[in-house]
Amino acid sequence: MNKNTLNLGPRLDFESHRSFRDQLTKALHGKPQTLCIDMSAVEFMDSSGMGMLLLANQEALQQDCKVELLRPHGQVRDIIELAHIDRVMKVIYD
Amino acid sequence: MTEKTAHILIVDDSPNEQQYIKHLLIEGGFVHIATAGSAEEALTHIAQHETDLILLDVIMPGMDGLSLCRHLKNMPLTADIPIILLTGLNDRQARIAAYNAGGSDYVVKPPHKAELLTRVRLLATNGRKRRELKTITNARERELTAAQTLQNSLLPTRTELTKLSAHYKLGLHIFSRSCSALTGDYWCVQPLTNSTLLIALLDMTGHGLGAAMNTLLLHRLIAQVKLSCHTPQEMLHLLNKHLSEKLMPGQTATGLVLIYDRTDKTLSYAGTAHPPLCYIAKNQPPELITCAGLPLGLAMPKSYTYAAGIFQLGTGDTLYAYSDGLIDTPLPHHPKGIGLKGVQAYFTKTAAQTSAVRRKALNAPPHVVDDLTVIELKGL
Repeated sequence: MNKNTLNLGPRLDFESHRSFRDQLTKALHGKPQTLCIDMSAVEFMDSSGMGMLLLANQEALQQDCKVELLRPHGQVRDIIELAHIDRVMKVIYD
Repeated sequence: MTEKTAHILIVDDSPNEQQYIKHLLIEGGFVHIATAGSAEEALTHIAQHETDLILLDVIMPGMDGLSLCRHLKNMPLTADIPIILLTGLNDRQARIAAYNAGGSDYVVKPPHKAELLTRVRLLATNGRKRRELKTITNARERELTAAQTLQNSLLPTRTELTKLSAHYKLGLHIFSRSCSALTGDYWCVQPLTNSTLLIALLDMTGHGLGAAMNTLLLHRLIAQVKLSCHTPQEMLHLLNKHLSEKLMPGQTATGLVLIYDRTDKTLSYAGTAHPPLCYIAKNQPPELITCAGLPLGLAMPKSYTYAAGIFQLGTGDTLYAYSDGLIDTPLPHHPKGIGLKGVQAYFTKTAAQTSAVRRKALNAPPHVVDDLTVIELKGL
């Protein structure tokens, strides 16, 4: 199965918007069937970060690609659970 | 525009030296050249005219060139103007003194034409760019101030809140702090009927100008839908419908809508993607009320159910609603943010304290990394 992985840094917030967009464009370039977003290194995510994940999901769906969020933890997991992100994309916690 | 249009000021007590340097600059193609015979004249000129570059004689009667240079570098309005110091001395000590005074460059008199023009061209370009940047920055600051004023005008004043508090018999304390010039949090307290009061807190994704612009949209939408809704749940559905049509992809909002009815002291709520409410009944441990759900702005079926409920806010009971800025707020023992567990622990730890004590602590975090709003409602 054609799968690409996007590894995120320690922060996913307003300041990281541009680098996230660049990474996303590259990750979706090969038309993967699944896009894994590895959140294991993300220590801080704000509402902008959540918006970016939703945007990534929307863009991936437009090219029939499923998004999987991998290993969010701590404060990031709190935000993901608050916003029921698992209802719109797969979230794998361990 | 080229560097030739830069505004240059020559400061020299000798009229002959002034004219000689002016002549060289004119030959070099510069057109806006002014002269001053003393530090005082120079200060008057700079206060009244745009100045992109100063050619300053070091040795002058009265305030000398080095003192004037230091003075200009200490003034915020003139600190960025490049200054070329002109002196008859060509030793290391003199050069060090010139740079220590804040001079950008140093030219020995009488100046060599090509050398002088090369240095003037370079620094005149920098000076002109500095002035243009300052003009843009000043315009942006004025726009931001106007936007702040507009955003603040959407909020009820302290007097209005006091009146609403008295009429609806509900203690109302609201604290809001932005992590940038404008906030992406929106809150409102508005009468619905003579007995019901609407309180809403919504947090747009992101912060800064984009999020702030969207708070204006939220303000308009709430005014538009509030009278056609009977429950907080209905209001969230309508807000979501409009927001999913109007927001850009990736933009969403957390939402909390509360309706307080003074006749039976009930508080009904609906929330989504919002941090849990903290309800502290008098002399009871705090209870967290979930408001989890998909954020507003995503196309969702009408059948989607938001977290909602109703409870009594009896005399002495307190309810806290807060934006996720509180979760993200770093504290000395939690440098990465206190998190939901930290917020929960805080309310548990302080449950026995008076709301005034809690309020004081909530209102004064050392610094915020996200827009933060805390609403405290107290049954009277």
